[in-house]
Amino acid sequence: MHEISIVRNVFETLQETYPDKFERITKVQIEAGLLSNIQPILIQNAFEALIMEEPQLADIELEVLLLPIIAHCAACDKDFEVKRHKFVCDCGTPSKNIVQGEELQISRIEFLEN
Amino acid sequence: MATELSMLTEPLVVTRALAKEQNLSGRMIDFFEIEWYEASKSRMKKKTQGGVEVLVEKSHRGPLEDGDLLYLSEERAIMLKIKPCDCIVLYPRGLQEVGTICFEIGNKHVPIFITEQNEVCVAYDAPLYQLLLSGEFVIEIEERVLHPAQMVKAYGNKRQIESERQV
Ligand SMILES: [Zn+2]
Repeated sequence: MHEISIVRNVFETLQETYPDKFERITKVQIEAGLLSNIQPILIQNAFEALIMEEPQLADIELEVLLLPIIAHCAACDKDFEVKRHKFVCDCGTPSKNIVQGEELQISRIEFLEN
Repeated sequence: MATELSMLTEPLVVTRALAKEQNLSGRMIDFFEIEWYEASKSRMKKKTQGGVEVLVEKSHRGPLEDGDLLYLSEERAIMLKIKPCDCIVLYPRGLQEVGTICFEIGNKHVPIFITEQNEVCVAYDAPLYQLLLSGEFVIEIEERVLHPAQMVKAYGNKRQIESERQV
């Protein structure tokens, strides 16, 4: 399960990026595109397991936001949402020109105010 | 004295669900909405539909359930609502097929839900759907609520959750 290493990685990155503010982090939001091959439930479970190991992380909320797949239709020159992996625009043109859906990123960090 | 909750600067802290079967008549029913995969989170802060900021800081490790009562005052009741999501729903034609399906899904390590009607549900995932389509199962994609109580596989911690629920 690669979700465990993803979660560890996120917190290692945050610790390196915010050595002084790390302890004031209250919330970390991760955006995962539906094509990123990430199971949000496995991310959440991996985090709950990590809290057991590292109780100082228990005051942090980890939130996973799933991003829908957006593709671009060349015929209409517009973006459309790919639902249930149907890569076809309303106009009937198929497109695999993906605009959104493959990302996996830390999208938001909240800190405790002084 | 009535407190307008949406005016509070500090979030409303919830550590566990309140007893069910309470009389909610006369109260404004407000909803704290979560995704199905958030039910087991020990900590989460969100605004209710009515704009009240709620911090769930669970005192136990069991999951919250759809319909759980989180807060109750004379004016307002806040209930947990698990948002429905696209699900792969399988209609097994016997116990053996349940086993085969669970085995196929089990390799993905994602939780499986079995409803009271013995349907097997799993959150929609395109590769998994393709895989299951190639088996000879009766299969649909439907929008459903995945209830933690119907979860049959939780990566080996199922027993733990159950024993905590009995406490
Ligand atoms: Zn088009």
